[in-house]
Amino acid sequence: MKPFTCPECGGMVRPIKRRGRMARHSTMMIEVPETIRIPECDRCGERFIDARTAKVIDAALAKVYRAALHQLVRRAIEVLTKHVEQKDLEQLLGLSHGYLSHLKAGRKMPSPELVAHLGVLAKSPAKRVGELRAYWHENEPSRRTRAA
Amino acid sequence: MVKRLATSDAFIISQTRAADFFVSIEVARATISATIGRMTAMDFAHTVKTQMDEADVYGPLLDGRQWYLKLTVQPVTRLIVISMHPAEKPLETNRERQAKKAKVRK
Ligand SMILES: [Zn+2]
Repeated sequence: MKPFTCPECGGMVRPIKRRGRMARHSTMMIEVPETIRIPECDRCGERFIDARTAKVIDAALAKVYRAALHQLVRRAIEVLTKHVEQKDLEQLLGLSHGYLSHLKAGRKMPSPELVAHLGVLAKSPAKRVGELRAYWHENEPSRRTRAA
Repeated sequence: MVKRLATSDAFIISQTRAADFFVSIEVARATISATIGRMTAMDFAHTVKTQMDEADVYGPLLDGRQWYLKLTVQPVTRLIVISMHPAEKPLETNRERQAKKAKVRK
């Protein structure tokens, strides 16, 4: 992309490589690899992204994001399975038997939603797994009908 | 021309004031392109002076919420979307102005 004038401050916008540039990808702000050139204003620092640059950045961030999700899911499962059997955890989360093993081995890609659930549970495993167990138990349809 | 540039992917978006409000930059670009493609004169709010030029501000609705969309066209037909994020305060667009006028007439 040819240099152009920043529409906000009048500085010059030129594609540059540098460290420390963060961009959103799904649930996280991730550092953009320093090897990627992004047009940046030399005065206000705003970055401007065209179609080609968007593709390059998104592909790089998606890779980092996937690795981060795998790492988080592995860590959460490790913590949780010290307090609850893996098959019980799968049942509590409505997952098919063996699914958590696939996630641990990196054979399946966890959704950010599942990583969030596991991450929150792993913050206080004994307490939260107990709460989750109670939640499903208290809300069993037959029990609710009887209560009503 | 703005619509043509936006829907042909020939536009540039600012990162912190537009892209970062979406789950990814490509989703931001696709949403902005579709939004500009759908916009009518009713979405126009006002024109603001920027350091360099002028920019038009629109208040399009996305899933029932008003967004703040500021864009400018530079020479060599470069469309720059300076901002695209949920409106921090209500924008009065032609839609609201027209509704107000209709109310007064009643
Ligand atoms: Zn600038």
